[in-house]
Formats: sequence, C-alpha cells, structure tokens
Amino acid sequence: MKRTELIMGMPITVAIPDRERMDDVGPQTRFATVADAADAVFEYFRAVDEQFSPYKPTSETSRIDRGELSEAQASPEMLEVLRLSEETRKETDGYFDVRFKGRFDPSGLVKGWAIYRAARILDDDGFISFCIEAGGDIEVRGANDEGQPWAIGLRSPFDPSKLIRKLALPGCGIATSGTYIRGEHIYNPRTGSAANEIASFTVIGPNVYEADRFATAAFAMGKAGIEFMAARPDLDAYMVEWSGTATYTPGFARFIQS
Amino acid sequence: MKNTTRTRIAAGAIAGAMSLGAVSQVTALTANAVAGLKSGTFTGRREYAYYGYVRVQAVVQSGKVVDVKILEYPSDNGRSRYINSIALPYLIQETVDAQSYRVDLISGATFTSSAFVKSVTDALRQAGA
Repeated sequence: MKRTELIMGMPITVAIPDRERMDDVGPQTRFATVADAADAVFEYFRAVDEQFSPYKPTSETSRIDRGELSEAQASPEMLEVLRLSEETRKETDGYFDVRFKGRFDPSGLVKGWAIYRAARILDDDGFISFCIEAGGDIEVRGANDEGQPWAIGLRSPFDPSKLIRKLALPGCGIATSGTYIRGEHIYNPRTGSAANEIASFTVIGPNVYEADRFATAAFAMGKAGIEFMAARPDLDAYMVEWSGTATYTPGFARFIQS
Repeated sequence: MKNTTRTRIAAGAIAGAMSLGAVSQVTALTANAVAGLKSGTFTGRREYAYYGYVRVQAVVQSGKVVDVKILEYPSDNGRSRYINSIALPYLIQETVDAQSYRVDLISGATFTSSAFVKSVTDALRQAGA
C-alpha cells in the first residue's frame, strides 16, 4: 500500500507493505488493515496542520504569533515544539531560530517532528515496516514490499526529474535541505559570503526529526556544513555543490546502493 | 557501478570540532594531493586543523585512491588526545550525474524547505548585521 495526499502544502506519502496486516492482529492493535493505519497517519498530519500552520489564522501558531496566546497558555504539543526549537537554536549556534523579525514560525522544525510522531503511531500499533515521507523527508522502518531495504533516491538539484544516487536504508530518518533555484542565496555571517555554493544537503540520522533539523542548519552553514556533520558520529551527510561536486561522510558510503 | 571519479579528502574538521564556532576556524585539507588522479604516492601539505597539524599521504592506483595514511595529527596536549579518541574522519568526493533508478521514495528539497531557507537567510542577515 502506498498513498499520497497533499497536506501542509506538501505531498505526504505513506508506504506500508501489505504483509504487515495479513496475519491475525491482536485485539490490542487499533488498525485492522494497512489502509486504516495510513488513514490515521494522514489524519494526524491534518491535525498538525490545523494546530501549527502559520497560514491558518485559527492555528495555535498564528495565535501565538499575534500575541493572543502566551507560551504559558500553550498546548502540550506546542510546549514540546518550543522546547525542541530552543534546544536546536542552541545546538546550531543560532543557525536555526523559529523567531525572527518579531514573528513566530516553527514550520522548519514541525515537519520533521510531525513525521517522527506519525511514525510512532505505527510503531505503537506493532508495525515493523513502513515509510512516511513529507516534502522529501522520510522516516524509514524495516523492509519494503519485496522484503528488501527501502530504496530511497536522492533527487538531483540540477534536474528535479532525475536522481543522483540510490540508497538502501535501514530503520532511520533522511532529510534533504536545499533549493532547486540557483541564485537563491543565503547569507553566512561567519564567512561574509552572500552566495551559497551548496545546492542540496542530505542528512541521514537516527530519526527524521534529527536529520531534518541538522540538514536545515548544515545547509545554512555552506561548505562547512559537511565538516560539522563529519564530527557528529550519529549523523551522516551527502552535500552537493552547484559545481557538480558531491562530498559525503565516510559513514554515508554504507547506504549507497548505486 | 557508477562511473565517477572519487577522491578521498582528509577533513580538517577533526571530530572534536563540535560547535559551529570551532568549525568556522577549521582549515580543511584540499584534494590537491591527488589532483588529476595520477598513479603514485602523494603527501599532502601540512595543514593546521584547529587543535594542531594534520598531514596525510594518499596512494593512487589506476585513477583511484586506494589508501590514505595519516602521517601527522594533533596529539600534543590533553585536548587533542580527547579529539583523537574519535577516529579522524574522511570525506569522500565524487562528481554527481543524473540517473533513472527504480526507488520506493525520493528525498529532496521542497518548496517548503526553500521557504524556510529564506527565513533562515533573513535571520542570518540580522545576525551578521
């Protein structure tokens, strides 16, 4: 089973091998079929969108942004996102900040966090194998329909219809940050460079939440991002420059299938 | 197997440079030791790597780097010993080319992350101002 819906302004795909619910399932499971499970995942993303979208005036994000809701009045989910945002801001030395120009927008963190939480819904129901992808970031579990490791393609930043690498992934998370428009620059105060030489930055981590937040921060760092990743034993990365050169950490090599 | 030229680079970013502040000061070794991928043994320049000096030697055979030896790396003080308790990382380099693979799913940047990059850009512009 593989289904895609457009939620949060991006395509979200849930893939679950049919074998996952072919055996008798215990009474403790909520989902009798893989389709039921996918429904629940999509429903979760719709709820996250209602709560966190900066484009919906009624969302909790918008209410905090307008100052109608204080952080003390925030929901437990929002408090968790605020806590993770602050943690990420510190870990990336300010490269990642949900507050800028007096506005509040945690979208950069919510995507990875939501995918990870959605995966937990399936984990908790006993699913061994599945993939949940939202806007190019993926949480991976178990094996695909053929019983093989999930085959994940890396999209070419030069031609979005093409792939540059085929990866075989175990249980982990993968996220890519970047832009497909050359010249969409990013200012790096540390080097004084206004141009970003980096076309895309892919991170594989223990889960998609970790991969996503570090892919975003590393992309903002420019070429130093790959060295930052090489120094993190829990993360591996593949960086593509506009020059056509790719650089990756040694640990990334074990995921490359072709 | 994909037909790409690969070059191993000993990253100057020693595994102790965990903070961005440290990374910005790191000097990475460049691929000059194996430029053109001629066969032979090449010794890289002695490069400052934040906590000390690094020098590597690369062995190239038939256009491929078959070995990289670390001739020198920081080990003169307590700080460096801590760093060297973690393996010196290598970065691997290749030229990308487009393919048509059969895959289950695709990882790539989206307009969503592109928008976020713009917000990061704005934040950084303020931070650097």
